[in-house]
Amino acid sequence: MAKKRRRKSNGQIKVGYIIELAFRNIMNHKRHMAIIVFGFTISVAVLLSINIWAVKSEQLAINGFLDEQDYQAYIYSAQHPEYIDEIIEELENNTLVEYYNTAFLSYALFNTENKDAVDYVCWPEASQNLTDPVSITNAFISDQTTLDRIRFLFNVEGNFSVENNGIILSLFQAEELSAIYGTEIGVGSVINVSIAKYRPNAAYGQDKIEDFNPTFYESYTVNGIYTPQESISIIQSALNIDILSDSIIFSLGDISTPDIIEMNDKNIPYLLFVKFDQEELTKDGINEVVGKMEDFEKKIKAGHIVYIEILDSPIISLINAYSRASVTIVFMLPVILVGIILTIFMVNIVVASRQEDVNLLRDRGADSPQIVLLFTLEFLIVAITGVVIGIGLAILLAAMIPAFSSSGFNSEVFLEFISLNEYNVAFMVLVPLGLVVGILTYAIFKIIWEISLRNKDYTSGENQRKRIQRNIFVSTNIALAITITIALIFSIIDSARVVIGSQNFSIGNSATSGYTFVLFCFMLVFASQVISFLITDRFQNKIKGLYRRIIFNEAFFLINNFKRKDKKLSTMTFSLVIVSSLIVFSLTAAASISNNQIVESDFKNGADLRIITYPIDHNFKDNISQIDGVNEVVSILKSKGAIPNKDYTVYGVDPVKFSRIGEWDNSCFPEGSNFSILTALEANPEGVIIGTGLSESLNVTIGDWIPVYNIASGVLYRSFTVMGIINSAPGLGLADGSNIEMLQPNEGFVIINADYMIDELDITLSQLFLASILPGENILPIKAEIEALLPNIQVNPESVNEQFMGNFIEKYIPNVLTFFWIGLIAIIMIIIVLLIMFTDFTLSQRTQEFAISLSMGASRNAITRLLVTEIVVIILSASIGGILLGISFTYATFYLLIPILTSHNMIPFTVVIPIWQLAILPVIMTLVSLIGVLPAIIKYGQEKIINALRA
Amino acid sequence: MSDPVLKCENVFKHYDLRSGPLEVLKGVSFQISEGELLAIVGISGSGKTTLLNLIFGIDTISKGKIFIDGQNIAEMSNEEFRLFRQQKLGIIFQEFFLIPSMTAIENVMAPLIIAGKSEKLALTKAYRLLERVEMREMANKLPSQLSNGQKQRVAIARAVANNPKILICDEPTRALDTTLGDEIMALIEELIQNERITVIMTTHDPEMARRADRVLIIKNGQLVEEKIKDKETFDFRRAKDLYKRSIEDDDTKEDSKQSDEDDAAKELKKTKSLVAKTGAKKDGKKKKKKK
Repeated sequence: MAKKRRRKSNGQIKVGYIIELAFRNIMNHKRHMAIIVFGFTISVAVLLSINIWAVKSEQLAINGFLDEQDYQAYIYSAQHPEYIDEIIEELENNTLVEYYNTAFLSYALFNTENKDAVDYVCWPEASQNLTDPVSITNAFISDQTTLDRIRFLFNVEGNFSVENNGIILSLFQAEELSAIYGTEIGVGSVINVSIAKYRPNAAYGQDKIEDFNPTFYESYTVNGIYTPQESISIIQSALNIDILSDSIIFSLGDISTPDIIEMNDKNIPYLLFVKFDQEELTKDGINEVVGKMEDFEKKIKAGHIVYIEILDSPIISLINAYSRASVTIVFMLPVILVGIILTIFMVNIVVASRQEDVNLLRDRGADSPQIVLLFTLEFLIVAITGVVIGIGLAILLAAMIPAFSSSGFNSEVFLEFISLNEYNVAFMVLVPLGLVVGILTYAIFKIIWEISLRNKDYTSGENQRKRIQRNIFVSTNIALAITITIALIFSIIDSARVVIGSQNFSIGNSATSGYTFVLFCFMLVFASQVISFLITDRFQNKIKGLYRRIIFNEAFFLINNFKRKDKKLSTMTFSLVIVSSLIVFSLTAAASISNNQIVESDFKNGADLRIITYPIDHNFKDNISQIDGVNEVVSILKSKGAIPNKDYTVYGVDPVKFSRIGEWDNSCFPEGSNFSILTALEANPEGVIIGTGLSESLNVTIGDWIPVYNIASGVLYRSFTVMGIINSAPGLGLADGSNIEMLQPNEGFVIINADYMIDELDITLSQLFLASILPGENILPIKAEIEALLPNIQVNPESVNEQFMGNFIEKYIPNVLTFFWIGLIAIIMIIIVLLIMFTDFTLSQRTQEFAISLSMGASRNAITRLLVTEIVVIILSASIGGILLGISFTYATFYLLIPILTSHNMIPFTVVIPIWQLAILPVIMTLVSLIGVLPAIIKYGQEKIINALRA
Repeated sequence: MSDPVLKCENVFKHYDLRSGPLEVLKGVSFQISEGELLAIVGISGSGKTTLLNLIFGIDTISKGKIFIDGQNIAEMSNEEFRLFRQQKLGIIFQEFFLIPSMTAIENVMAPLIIAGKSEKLALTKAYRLLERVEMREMANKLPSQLSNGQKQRVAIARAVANNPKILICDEPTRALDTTLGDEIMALIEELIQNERITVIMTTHDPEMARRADRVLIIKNGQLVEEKIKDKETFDFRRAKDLYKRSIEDDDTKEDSKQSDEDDAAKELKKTKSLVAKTGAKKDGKKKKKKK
């Protein structure tokens, strides 16, 4: 009955039975099938995990940032407050706006009691009666909701609250009030304050208390004392950090309605802070976010004479960082390649070892299509299993990548990733599908080929097969190699043009680099074939003398084995060459990236010590320089200015000290420029050093002058003579383009003389100090002493901007080294499996040969020795060939990969060859391989001659 | 009569199969003198090849003793016997068993190299041997490029490379046609004459058996008849009958992929075969029954 069920009336096997048979065959060849599953699993898992990680991490980072960012836009109109009402109406009807908050920026006056408001001259403060002065400071008037939103941007002692007749003071103001009142003003102190309803101008003779039109508020409790923490935020864009450093925060709710009307009438800046609806902003994709923000800006500007600023530069930087990180998927290509090689080898092994099955099926009446169908079904079932496991593993791995990026395992990040249902479905379907179709096509071709050969006379078929196979193989390889070479040449030209001298890489550059790397990987396959051919044909069977010294007479057999192509030893050599070269690439890349990260970190720190604190008088540098071991200190003053209508960061430095302390690199200067520009700036206090981009856009050069408008200190306009042009400066970053990481959201920076900034622009607060230490001094105790100077101070922070956007980058983007290590581990895992399987297969194919040798009187030890030597020779020669190829491959590709590894090409990348690691690589590979293949050698070594002969 | 070169005393061999022990040899005893050509004749499954394998030491005796050159091979260590085999025994398999990746000359050189001869010496001797078997022209051909007769000539050259005392031939002419078989037998006889080699050979072919000094007929693992070199008294009718039965038996075995006669080991292998294969075999058995 069973027989009837399995056969059609014409005697052919039913499809249902073939499916049943396919499952049974899979179970009967568990080991081979498990390895094919492993090949698919690892390829799919590695490839998809990076994609899933990239998609999810970008989503999480952007959402997280938008959520945490104080506001995304601010609007104000000092001259035309009437527009504000219209704008508010628009904001309320705009679906993109989740909510908005309002605030005034006025003045606060202290110690005005018992003074004649009409006569007392208080403005500017220097003109006051200094025996009984009035303290005038900025007053940020807002409600508690706004304060809760911006709380994270401040270091606070006490509460950041203005509720219950509370007031918040900046540390600077608290210290000033303590000096005025002669008693320490701290958290809990009760003070009186006057809030100005008008911002007078001393230049117009408005210098009396009454000119401020103040409202007196009595008995306010100091709820908190703060220092601002520098960041790229709307609040710091609206209110310069200098203002925030010397300010009080007062409750908007405590201002009466008539006062608000009066403040409005008298052009007290009325600020609108806008928070966008995150869901609305991101619903059309991350890449649409910036466009939507810009559209909002245009809409508000249309018809209203108002100032609006949207803060999109962090979003752009975040998107860039994640897009660049997602290109690192190309580093996983070697794993995919090795995974595919493993799978193809296993397909070959399965097809070769199942000849008996094919014969039996033929005996049972199966025709060729049915046999092909059976094998195809087996491979399809196995491939689908591998893909399904691979997808599952990819989802887990994608969550593991960022979870392990910080110190230890971060379960919060892991769960965030797992629970986020955001996938690039098209990629997740098409990539595994392509892989399955590709390998299945190969498998079907291989099966048809094998079956068609069995229909022919064996000897002639064998010879014909070899000839046709060789011809197909060689012509396909040549055609592919030519195509890839042409593509590679164009790609290299394209990449090289971008990489050479590029200061800022775009996502396009990263993608081009990635594409070039992919082509290089394909070229590596061909190069490995050439190298393995040279090794097998020109080396392994030529060193007879050496073999004789090691294994004496058995050298005869060893050379014979190397001479014969049908032993498949050249295939083993090929796989080892390619894997060794990829391991070398991973190790060299890891060492180089690690080294360059240190160099880049030093450059970003700018000096031996990078000291970051809240805005403090620039003379704080003297406190630092007094510490034992500290050599020199330079304070970096910072302001904002428009040149001519774009915002630039204006730095004030002591040029000569900066030239001595800074970690300068030749690449900081454009061709023909050098340190002399800093000496020139020292000599000319009204000079300025500008970036190459600014020089080109304004068409100015050394000796020309440039205007700087709206300097943050209130200076409307100054002109400076260009004393030099630079590409970058240590500790400050690139001179052109926004350096979000260095807390510069503007177009770039210019450097002026610190003395000019202090004396002429009255900018005296500094948050950044660079210091050098004396030679031979230990940095750690010095660091500890500096950190003890102030409560909020950081020395050489790991991330330059870790408090803000850096957090979102570091939280989800692991160090690029992680990718190399993942790749390396995956490659090693695959090669061990490959070696074991391959040795097992080749040994199984040679069992009879060993038995013949034994029957001729050969000892088992001699055969084992022969096999071990054979494996050692193959692994050593292949790994040495692979090392040489890997080094060439690394050198050839590495410079073109820079756009993926970093955002700029400012610090020259150096390829670091990890000599010791590479030196022990062949030894480790040999040992690992021997351990891996030893069981197989022992197994075949112990086989009875009689059984082996009949195998 | 000179001392026997080979002596089998009450040799038993059984295999433990799942279905129970399978007795292949049941107390076989005989001896052979130097320079003698002994033929063992029997139908498939009678135990001929097993007996040769035991003598050649590639299978182990269950009970009994085999003396070669006066030494009990069961008492030798593996290493001792390996060296002993290397020096004193040569074998020609019915499937030739040439190393496929080696040329004819390399195949002949192999035992010499294994025995510790230098490559140069091995090469010289191998050429000489190939010349003797008229294969010098084909010295650099791979086995796949040789005909069956040529392969067997190379196998003979290889078997005698180390000047063995005893040459064991397992159906040396089976895969060859009559003319080629005659040529191979002539070669073997020449070796006996020139080198004083003792030959023990299994065969189905009465014509080949007729050329032996002595013929042992084996049936169900036991020696049932011994004919000494008295060609006039040799029962050709009986031998021909045996031959015919062997051929028929072989044909039947071919149907179910059983190519050898006394292959208990293959039985073992069979039990481990694929489920798919098992399915096929079940059907195969049914088919056979139907037939």
